[in-house]
Amino acid sequence: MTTPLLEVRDVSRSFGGVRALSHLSFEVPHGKIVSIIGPNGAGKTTLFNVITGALAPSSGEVRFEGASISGLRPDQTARLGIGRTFQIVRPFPGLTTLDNVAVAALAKERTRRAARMRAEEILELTRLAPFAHVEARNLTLARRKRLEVARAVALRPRLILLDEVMAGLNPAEVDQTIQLIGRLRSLGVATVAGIEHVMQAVQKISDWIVVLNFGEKLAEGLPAEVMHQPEVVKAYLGARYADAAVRS
Amino acid sequence: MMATPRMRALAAAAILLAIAVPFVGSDYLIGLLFTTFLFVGMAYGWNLISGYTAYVSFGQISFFGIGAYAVAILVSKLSWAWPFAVLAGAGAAALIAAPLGWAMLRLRGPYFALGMLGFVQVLYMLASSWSSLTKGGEGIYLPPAGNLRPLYYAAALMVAAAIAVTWAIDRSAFGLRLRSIGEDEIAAEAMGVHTTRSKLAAFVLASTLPAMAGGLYAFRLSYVDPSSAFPASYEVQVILMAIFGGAGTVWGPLLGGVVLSAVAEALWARFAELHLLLFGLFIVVVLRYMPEGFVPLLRRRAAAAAIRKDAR
Amino acid sequence: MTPRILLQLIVNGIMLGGVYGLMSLGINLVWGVMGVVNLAHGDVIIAAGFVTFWLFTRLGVNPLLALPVSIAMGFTIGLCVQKFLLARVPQDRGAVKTSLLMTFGVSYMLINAVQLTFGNEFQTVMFLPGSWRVGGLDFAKSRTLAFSMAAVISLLLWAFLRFSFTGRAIHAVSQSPEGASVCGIDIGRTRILSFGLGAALAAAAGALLVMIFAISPAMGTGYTVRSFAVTVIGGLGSFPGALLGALVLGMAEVFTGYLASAQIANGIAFLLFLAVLLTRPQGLFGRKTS
Repeated sequence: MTTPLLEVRDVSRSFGGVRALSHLSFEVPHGKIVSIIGPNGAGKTTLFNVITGALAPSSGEVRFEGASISGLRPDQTARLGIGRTFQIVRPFPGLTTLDNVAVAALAKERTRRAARMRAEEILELTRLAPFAHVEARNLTLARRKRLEVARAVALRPRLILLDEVMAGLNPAEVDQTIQLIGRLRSLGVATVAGIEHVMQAVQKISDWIVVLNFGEKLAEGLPAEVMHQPEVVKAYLGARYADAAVRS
Repeated sequence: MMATPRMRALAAAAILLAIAVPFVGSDYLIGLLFTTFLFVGMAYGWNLISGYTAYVSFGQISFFGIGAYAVAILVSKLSWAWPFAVLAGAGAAALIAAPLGWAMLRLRGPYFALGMLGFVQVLYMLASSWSSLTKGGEGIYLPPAGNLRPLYYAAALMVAAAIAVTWAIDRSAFGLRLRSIGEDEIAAEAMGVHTTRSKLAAFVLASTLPAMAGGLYAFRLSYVDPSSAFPASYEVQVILMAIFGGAGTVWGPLLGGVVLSAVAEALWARFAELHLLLFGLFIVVVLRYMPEGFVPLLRRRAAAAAIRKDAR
Repeated sequence: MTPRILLQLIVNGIMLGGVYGLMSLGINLVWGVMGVVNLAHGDVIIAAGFVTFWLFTRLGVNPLLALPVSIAMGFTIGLCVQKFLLARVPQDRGAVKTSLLMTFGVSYMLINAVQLTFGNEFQTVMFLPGSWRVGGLDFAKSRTLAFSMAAVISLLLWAFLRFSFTGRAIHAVSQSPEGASVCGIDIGRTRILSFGLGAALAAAAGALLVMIFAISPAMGTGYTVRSFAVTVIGGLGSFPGALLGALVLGMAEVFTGYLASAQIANGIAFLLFLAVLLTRPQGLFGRKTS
């Protein structure tokens, strides 16, 4: 088998006395969509921070395309091909939508003009083109979330980390985001999606699921399998979803 | 905004006037414009680091003093010609700014601000105690400047260079990166911007302008000592000019510098003892009621006018 | 250096540290509660020093009796700055930058006001000249008095924060503004009080400082840097940290002044500030805040 795109190997991270991540290991194959599900506080954002280099792991290692990326800075992992969105969106408020994306495009383009042209293409892809010259602070939440994804895509990433990208969206917007992620997959981009609530998305798009609870991996597997496992149902999905799990 | 024919004509007229003044203007006017150019240059320096990256620096006068002492020492002790001394002062400032910036720019906003304030204190202390180099409190005397005209043109050239560099950066990839750092440094890093390198480049570049201003000032004054090399009132003036004109814009520091120099000159005649208070008050008022500064304000009014024109 | 000189320097350092501690408590309070950096802090210190000087030399008022006047003045200045300026700043990402610049502007207003009212000269208050000899060491009377008063005021502050409702409200807001407001605490009012209190503490320190040193209007910035250096060394948010940091700075200045020169001692605050920030940013006791 070819080397997986991303390997998280026995990663742990503590903050003082709190264990945010505990001996976490999983893999992401090229071009696949892996969903990390777990309640708030399970460690998804910490995991993303460790992968991108915003945080150093207390122990363990992260490998990307076969090479260790532990100790790299976020801008270095970004340029290597790992894009991310933030759970609480962080657009550049005073920059236009176009320039927001252009900043990220600069990672791979040499001139500002080239970056802006690439940004225009991406705005088309994410249906944000009408807002190209609107300052990001004036966008609605749904559009800001699309902007987060657009920016990450502008890095020409091999892997995108989506942190709660569907939280706070209405069902129609969730569907649009699901389509977007599907389109990314068809472009060969792998996705790791951190998701708390939006189960329909998890079912529809994931090639693989990793269940996180208190920083530990509770289970992993194909969506249909994982949803049925009793520990998962008990610890996280709860009685409400147990029905849905059994029915699907 | 500068593209309209009317603005272009105005700009051309201003440039011609600026070039002509030393031949037709009084010594007083030449001196006034000279000082104005120095301040405009310093405002551009502050703008490069604090306007774009939002790292608020209160240490411009530290580089001003470095430039001043560089010229004083090179001209009086080593008999350098003043133009080379001024450039050397800029070089010295850049050399010091590199490690200083590397240490300081890793500190968040308030810490960085305090750090730069403290650095000025340290330089003042060094200037006072390192007598073998700076003659301490006694100060260094320079040969008299003689004709003011060459100095005037040097200052004008400095301003032109400052505007050109800012304009180039503003529309470049580097400028966009700096802006992204100013908007949200963490997001910028996540988007692949090497924030340390960009910030440092801006910081080092920004240090050369006050250094040149300080060098020219020192030569004009023919005397340098700690209190003239690190004039506390200049810091507040420069920052006020940049903010009033519009931080993070290409023309803001020029506008702010020219307007406020004129205002300061008028105030000096009547309210000399109040000028620090008025500058401080002015900063507070500008921040409270027009925090973006004048240039963005003008731009928005022009945009609104254009929309209204389209609608008709 | 003989043991006697060493001990003397230590005594002097401790006494200076006491006053520095009082200075930095105000910073700790304001910065910890509101995340605001008051660049005019040192100028409030100097202003209070001059007011005390004026009352002493013109009206013969005992500096200790003049202390409440300085404190009231400081409190008023802080209250006005917070209520009319800082509170009106929109709380977006530019808020820190704006409050830095605003307090910078206020700083210049204060310097000029002091210059206009009291002149530009160095002044001091010769209240208790001479010193007590205890165990072969000199305890300068004025320094001892300043130190004692600083200690008393610090203790009162600690008690206030611990036991009064307002004090605990301030503590609550520094931990979590949303949480505090949900408990019915008026955040706006608490912030105004905190800023006022911070400036009042600065004023108290200034009133005591003028008994030890000669001050001039231009020295404000130096004291702003010192106050923040102490807070950084001790660690933000920590009361004992602030006092320890003050001791460290007091000692450092006294020893440097003796071994090198007074001018270099002036710059020590900045060097310590930078050293701590680059090696152990949370200081000695600080909590690791965002």
